[in-house]
Amino acid sequence: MTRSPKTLLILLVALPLLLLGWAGLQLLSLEDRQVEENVRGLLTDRLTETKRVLAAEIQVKASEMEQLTSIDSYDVDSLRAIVRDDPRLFQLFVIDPNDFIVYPDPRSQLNQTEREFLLNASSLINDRLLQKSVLETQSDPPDTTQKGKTTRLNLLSAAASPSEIIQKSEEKQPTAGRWFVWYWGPGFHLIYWQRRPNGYLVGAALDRSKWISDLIAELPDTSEAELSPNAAPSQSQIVESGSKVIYKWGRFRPTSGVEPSAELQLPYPLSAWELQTFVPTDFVTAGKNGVYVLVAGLILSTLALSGLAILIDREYGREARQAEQRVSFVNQVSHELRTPLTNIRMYAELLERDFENADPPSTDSNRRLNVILNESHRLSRLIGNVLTFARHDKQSLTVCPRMIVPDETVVEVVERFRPVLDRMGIETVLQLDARKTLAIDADLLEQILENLISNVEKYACDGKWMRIETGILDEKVLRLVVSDRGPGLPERESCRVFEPFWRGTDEISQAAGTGIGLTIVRSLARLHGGDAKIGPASSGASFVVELRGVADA
Amino acid sequence: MFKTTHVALGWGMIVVLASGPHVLAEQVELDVASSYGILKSGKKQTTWIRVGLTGFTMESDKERAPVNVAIVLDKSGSMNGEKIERAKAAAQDAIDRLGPNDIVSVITYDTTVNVLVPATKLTDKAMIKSAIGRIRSNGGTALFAGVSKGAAEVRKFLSEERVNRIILLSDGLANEGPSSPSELGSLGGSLKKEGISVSTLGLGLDYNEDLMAKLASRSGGNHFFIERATELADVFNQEFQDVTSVVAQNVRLKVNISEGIRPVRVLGNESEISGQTIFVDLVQIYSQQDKHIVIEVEVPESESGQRQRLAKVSATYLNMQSQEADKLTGAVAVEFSEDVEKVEGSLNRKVMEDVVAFVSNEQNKLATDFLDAGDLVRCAETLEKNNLYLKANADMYDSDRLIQLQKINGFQLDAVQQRDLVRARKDMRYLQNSIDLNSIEVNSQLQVPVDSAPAQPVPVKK
Repeated sequence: MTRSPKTLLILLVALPLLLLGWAGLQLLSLEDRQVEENVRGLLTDRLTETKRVLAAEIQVKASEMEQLTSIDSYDVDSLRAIVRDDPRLFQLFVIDPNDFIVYPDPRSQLNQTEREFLLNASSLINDRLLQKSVLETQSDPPDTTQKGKTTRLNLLSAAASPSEIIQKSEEKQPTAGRWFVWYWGPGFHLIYWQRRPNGYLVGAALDRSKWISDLIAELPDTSEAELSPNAAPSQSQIVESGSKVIYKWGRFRPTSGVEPSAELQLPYPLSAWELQTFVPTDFVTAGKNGVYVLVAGLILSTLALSGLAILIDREYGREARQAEQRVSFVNQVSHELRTPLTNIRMYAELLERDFENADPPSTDSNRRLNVILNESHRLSRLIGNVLTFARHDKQSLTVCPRMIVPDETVVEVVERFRPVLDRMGIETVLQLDARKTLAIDADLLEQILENLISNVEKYACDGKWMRIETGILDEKVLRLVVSDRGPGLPERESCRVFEPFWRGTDEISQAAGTGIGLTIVRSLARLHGGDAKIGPASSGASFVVELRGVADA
Repeated sequence: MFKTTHVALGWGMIVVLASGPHVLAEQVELDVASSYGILKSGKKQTTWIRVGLTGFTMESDKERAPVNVAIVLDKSGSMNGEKIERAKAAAQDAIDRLGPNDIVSVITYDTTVNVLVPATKLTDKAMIKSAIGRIRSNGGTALFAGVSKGAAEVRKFLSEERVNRIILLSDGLANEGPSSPSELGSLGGSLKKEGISVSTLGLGLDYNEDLMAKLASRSGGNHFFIERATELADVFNQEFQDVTSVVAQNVRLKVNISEGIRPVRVLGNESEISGQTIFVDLVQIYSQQDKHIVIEVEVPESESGQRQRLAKVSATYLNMQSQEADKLTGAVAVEFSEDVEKVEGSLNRKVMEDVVAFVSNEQNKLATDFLDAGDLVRCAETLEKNNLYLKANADMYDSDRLIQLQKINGFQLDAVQQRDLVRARKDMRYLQNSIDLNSIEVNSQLQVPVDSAPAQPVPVKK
């Protein structure tokens, strides 16, 4: 294991926390956006209400002016009397069907307001702007009257919906006369005009201060603005031409330069006006409570996960210690077993020699002795494997290369297996071609070969055939191939055969084995700068092992 | 301090005819006169026609017309401290002066407007006074909106039978919403047509006197320059004295100048000259007030012994005591003579006194224009000349009123010479409004000894 369990545990705690924090922040910003959206919606609704109030007031003014400009006789004195007495008017004017101004007549004696009006509105009249806009509307009416007619028909057939009726009443107004916006002096001025049936155009220039004052009177004052339901501290204002404040209401005082929280353009003729509203920024960006909740949640999760991690750590530690104890127990037992086994093997070999020299030779005793020898060889290989595996696990295996001729070692090992192979009737073919000396750890090579041969003996004895090939590649790599004609390896498991404790099948009938043989083969090969692989085979299995000879010492 | 007294009618007055169904009710008197009853024959000349209306004396407070007044208080940050406290106290005192038939609303404004007390009959004085007591100052000066809301409150009970007025107190420059003198003047003009006048009380030295004076003049209301907050109570008192002594309202003059005679200009109240006809909206007349205009006309040459009618006058008004609409008519004619002594003997001093007052007022306005142009020398020159002009005429016509005006001009001249320009300018606008609107009292803020006035370095304009 390369990473310590502690790091893993820290990761285990940190990763979910990071995920949780990120998700929480996403959620918060989403919520913020949503709240902001809601607040903006609410504010826009309020502005829309104000817009409605203003539009209604302008509508009232339009119908008042419609009435006021319904004049068919243009006697100067009576027109002057109207201007003199009507607080809403700045000036009246009349243009005849030939586009000549009839009142105030520039050639007559003018009073002060008439002069002022002509001075400011001369281009309006000289350039016939109004007349042009009349032409525009004259192309409109047929369309509108048609609509009116159909609506009336609908009404007759009692099929008209209320919306259609409203539509009709809305459309009826502007066809009679309309607003004209004209700039002079402090800002834009409203002019209402209509074309009389006699062809004269009668217009009324409204007193700017008066209509602004009237509109202000319709708008809420500060205490009203605060009394309304879902009142937030706010300030709304009407702004002309982007910068000039006309009227403000509400208790909140935004710092200058702040962008309004909501804006609304007013419809014609007040299109130079904009409604704006300001609320405190913390009101728009919702409560910061969300952040506190998130932080609290993160702290709690940290505590919970850390607790869990400590528990897991403790549990894992105990199991690891227990496993370690078991391994070291097996290790020690294996060590303890090796000494008596060595003695057994030594005395058995001595005894074998004694029997060979005996006369007449006792074939029966000789055979029994062979069994003892073979079994003790097998037992020592087993113990060797267990110890190697344990050492590999602890990373305490080392390579001790010596100059050897690999083929000699191979022949030695095969000779050692000869009695077993003979007994099982396995034909052994040797194709040895590694006769040069290489710097290789002979013990390691032996152990690899022993494992591979005992695998053939255990799993592929049915094939009755084994071939061992050796060769040297690139002058210093020993290539060793062990093939058999056994059942072979299942295709999809072939990559797993080198994993520890893996066994081809779980059937009890299968030959016994520890399941670490091939693992040791691969580990040792890699330790020696090479590798162990499954080779291509038409039938049975084939294992290819390469060992890299250490550079000449 | 000076009160015009109604003196014997001049030579040139032909007829004064009062027509009205109620003979018992007192009437406003119409007086039409020309500066000379007899003009020199054989030359084209300028002469003046004076049209005056004199309010009758209101005997007791009981018979006064109910008032409908909106008190619009500036509570911007600059009012903080003594100013706001004095203003609150003055407004509370004013409430005490009014009766249960009167209608009062209280509007405060800073950056925004607050209708503190919506228009209501004055049945619960304590409530209104405590509401005023709670006013705290801070913020900007949304003067236009304050007046607009005040007008809206007055409109709720707008009636010819009541005296409809907005009383605006401000100590600062309007800085929220429309704030040019022309815009506020235009608002005043439109309110006047509705029958609402605005009296403006400028407090301290930081308010815009052009704006405040124009708003008052064009709406037919009073304008006051109040340098010290301690004077607020007096001014409120004076204003409410005026408001509660209105004897005629909706006062309109129509003057038809005879053919051949050219109307040159109208001195005094704002007027409309349409051809040979002059229209003047005098708004209201206070008890004993002498409300008048002077028309300058050009008379063509005429032969000796000829008689020429100069003008026909009709005045309509609503008598606030009888609640009847009354109409007065009058006319004025002149004779022509070669005899210079006869001509001199026909001089109407009362007419000339007003002519001089108005002409000197025009000169005073000219001096203000020089002041604005930064031409202090010509400003001082104009005031000095005006001073001499007033002095000469005061002596000639033995007029206390002209002496009073000469004094005020003198104070203003002193102030200009001492570079006390802010005070001088405010006092000039104050005086000009008083003369144009024929205020009963003509005051100056400059007559207090200089050492008691706060000494301040005043930057020269421009």
